[in-house]
Amino acid sequence: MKKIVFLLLLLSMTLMLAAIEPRITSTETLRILGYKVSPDAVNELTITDAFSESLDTVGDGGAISMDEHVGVLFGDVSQRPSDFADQTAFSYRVASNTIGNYELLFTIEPLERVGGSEVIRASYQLGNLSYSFPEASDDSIEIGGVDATIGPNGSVTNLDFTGVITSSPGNLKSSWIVDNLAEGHQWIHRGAIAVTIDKSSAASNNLLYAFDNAPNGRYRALVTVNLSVN
Amino acid sequence: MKKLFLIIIIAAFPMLSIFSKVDPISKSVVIQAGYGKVVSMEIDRIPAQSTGYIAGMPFNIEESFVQSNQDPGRLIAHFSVLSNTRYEMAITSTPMKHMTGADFDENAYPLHYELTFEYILGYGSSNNDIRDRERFYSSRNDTNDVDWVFDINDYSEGNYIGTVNGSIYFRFDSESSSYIQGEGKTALPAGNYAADVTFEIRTVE
Repeated sequence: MKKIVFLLLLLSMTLMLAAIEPRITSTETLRILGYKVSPDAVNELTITDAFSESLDTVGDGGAISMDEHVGVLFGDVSQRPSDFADQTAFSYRVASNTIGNYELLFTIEPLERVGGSEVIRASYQLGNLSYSFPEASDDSIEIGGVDATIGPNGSVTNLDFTGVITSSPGNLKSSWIVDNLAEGHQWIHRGAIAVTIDKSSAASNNLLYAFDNAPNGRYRALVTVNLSVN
Repeated sequence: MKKLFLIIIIAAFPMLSIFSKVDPISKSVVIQAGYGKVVSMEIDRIPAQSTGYIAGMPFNIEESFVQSNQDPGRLIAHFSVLSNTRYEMAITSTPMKHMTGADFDENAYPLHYELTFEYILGYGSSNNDIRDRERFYSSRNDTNDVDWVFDINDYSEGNYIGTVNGSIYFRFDSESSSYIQGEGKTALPAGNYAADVTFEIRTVE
């Protein structure tokens, strides 16, 4: 009897297994592909020479495009004006419609006397004279100072434009971060660079004079301004 | 003599066909058959088209055709299902994300979307509805759970013989569309974006 029951169970299990059909499946994968293009970035740097009658300086005049040299020709140093300090050498303007980490790098070379049989160089100081404070408008926002705000959602942080460079050659760096610029907006940053004749610094070599001790004559210095964005 | 010449000309006409070449025309038909229950699916991805009809992939995620206010969205693929039995389509999806190389940027902002299936039944149903549209939303969770099951069988009875042919349309959902057109204009990085959708066709008892 037990054998019969066992056989019946075995038979019924076999019939059940035969009746269960495997579930048929078919799998396909679709990868959906998209992309986003970079916005048309516009970054402009404009340098404008300053003219100072008191220093009798002569510059190239007019706006100069990015990465070009700015030449400042100092007047006859025999004048030795007492108010050489904080005279505007040139002004700059940066305009952009993109976000990123920005840096302005001013690289200066020594004042070099024009002409003469002997190469004579003098030192001077170059530093930020001022930069503009934000003025809101529909199309463009000017920035200046730390944490200035641009546009409805934009912000400028980490503006660092301090220090004065002395005893050329050397460089002066300004950096800031622009983030969350509102669509259709641009930001503008203006500043002025002052030149201060360094009367007190000692000569670092035979060809470099403190300006106060430099021989008379006309001197010229080159300043290179570079704008970079990451 | 003239008659002989005429006879020769008439007799020669059929022979000219031997020397005129006719390119053969051939077509192929795949005979599909199976034993027992059969179900299979094919997806044809459409390459990006920008003239005539705007369709295909890859597409610009900022373009208007893939935003939430476009119905049904941008055509991205065709699909067909061949079956002789009742079946369901289980869909699992990932949100669209920025790619770094060939990999998904895990820290990228997830963009959710909606797929629309517009299809034609290869056979008539009892109420003559042979064209319909189904829609589903992409998963908003991180699990691998099935997001949606597409059951076509509401429209037919009896034997399921033939194919379902359809088109797949893509559009972002309203939240992602708002982000892309707002904050995402500057926050979303430029580059490639992708999402994976898996279709599992399984028979139903």
